[in-house]
Amino acid sequence: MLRSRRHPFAASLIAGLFIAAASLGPSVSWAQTTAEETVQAAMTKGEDGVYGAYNSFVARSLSRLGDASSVALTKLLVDRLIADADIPAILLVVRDSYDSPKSIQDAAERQPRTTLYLLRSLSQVTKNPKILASIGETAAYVKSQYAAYSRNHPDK
Amino acid sequence: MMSLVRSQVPDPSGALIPSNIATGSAILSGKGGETDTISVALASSVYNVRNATCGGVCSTCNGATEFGFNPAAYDMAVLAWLQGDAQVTWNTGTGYINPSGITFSSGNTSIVTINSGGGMQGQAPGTTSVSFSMDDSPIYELDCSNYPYCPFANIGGGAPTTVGQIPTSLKLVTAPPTILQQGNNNATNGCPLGNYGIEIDIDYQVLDQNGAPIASANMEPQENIPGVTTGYQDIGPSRISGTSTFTRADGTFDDAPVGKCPPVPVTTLTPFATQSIQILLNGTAYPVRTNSYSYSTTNLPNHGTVTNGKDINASQ
Repeated sequence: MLRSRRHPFAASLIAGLFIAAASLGPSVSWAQTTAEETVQAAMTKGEDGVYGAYNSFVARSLSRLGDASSVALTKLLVDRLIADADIPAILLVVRDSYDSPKSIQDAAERQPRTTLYLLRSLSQVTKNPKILASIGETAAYVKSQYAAYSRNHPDK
Repeated sequence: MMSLVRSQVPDPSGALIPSNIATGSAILSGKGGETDTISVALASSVYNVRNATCGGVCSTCNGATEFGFNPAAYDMAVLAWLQGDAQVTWNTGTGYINPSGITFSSGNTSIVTINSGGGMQGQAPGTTSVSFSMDDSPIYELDCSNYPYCPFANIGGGAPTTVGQIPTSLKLVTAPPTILQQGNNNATNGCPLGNYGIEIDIDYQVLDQNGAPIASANMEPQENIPGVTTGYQDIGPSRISGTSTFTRADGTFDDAPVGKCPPVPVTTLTPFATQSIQILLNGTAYPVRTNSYSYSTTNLPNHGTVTNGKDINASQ
């Protein structure tokens, strides 16, 4: 089911962005500056009509970003109409960003703060139960990845 | 001399002869050191050069006091050239680079050779030293009475020289690359379940400039994907077991996964990425390979082709 109406999601994302920015502190990390380009690539369709998120190189690059991907996603999605068909690619970006927590270069980006907020906001965009389930699975995946990393690296 | 002392004007180095000095010795020389020809006008004086400036019975008043080889220690590649210099400093402070009478030598010519002008060339991996001797220049001695004649230098200088391999290319170890099994819902080992396309696990060996494998665990493979990465970033680690930031001890590494797994069939061979790989070794980046990847899928999930149009062609 395609949806093309503008959603209060945008407004809530903007608010979320400020929350995320405040919680991340005043400095702009390497991950945040890199994330915008990588997420842009992930959410852009190639000549095959497929989102870049399905490109393994994009996935590999995302895996270094962690929470910074969701900050960049939030900025990107604020000005976009979110359709159900777009959500799998968004979830793939989120999932790939927590695919390998040990690969996340900026330690401050390992904790999924903005990511979980983004997923909660995303769940308000759709009523499709299958997509809602996918959002829930992605949130659980991100939490479990971070929890597993934290268990194995208690000092980090 | 008395006028010079009374003037109390320091020299360019700030040195000043105290005004109460009545006797002493001095060495007069031009800006270029002891090799300059200068004129000295004496209104009235008694002087004895040897007694004033030389010690003992030595007739040599100036000579070398310091010896060095530049660069002090270095790494170089096989077949690379590097200029080495013998540096000799006299007691007057004048420095000489490769003065006459210098002879260069290598501690092991199978590792590095050095010619009569100090030009070095790496021959094979290893560590040795290069040195020089100086036969016909006097060394500076205040008291030469122990020598039957004025002493001449016969010294060796040296520098540890390490000749190494430099990463130059990548050899595809797995040909064709290993095709990953169909992934699961977590996409932990390949394409997400139900997606079309293919991902492959590429294994590379780093080769040196002579095509020989470099067996080192200190090499850091990095990639740059225009439009995706902001410059070069590490290839590993990734979720795939076996990938890490550095090469294995044998100089191999995994580049995995490489591919594309779209949620819809794409049956036409379509470009999806250009990947430039460099190897970071001891702080220096060496470009080793560029791949321009294309892919296509079949109408079956997790089936398709990935190719770089050269040595990587994987299909299932």
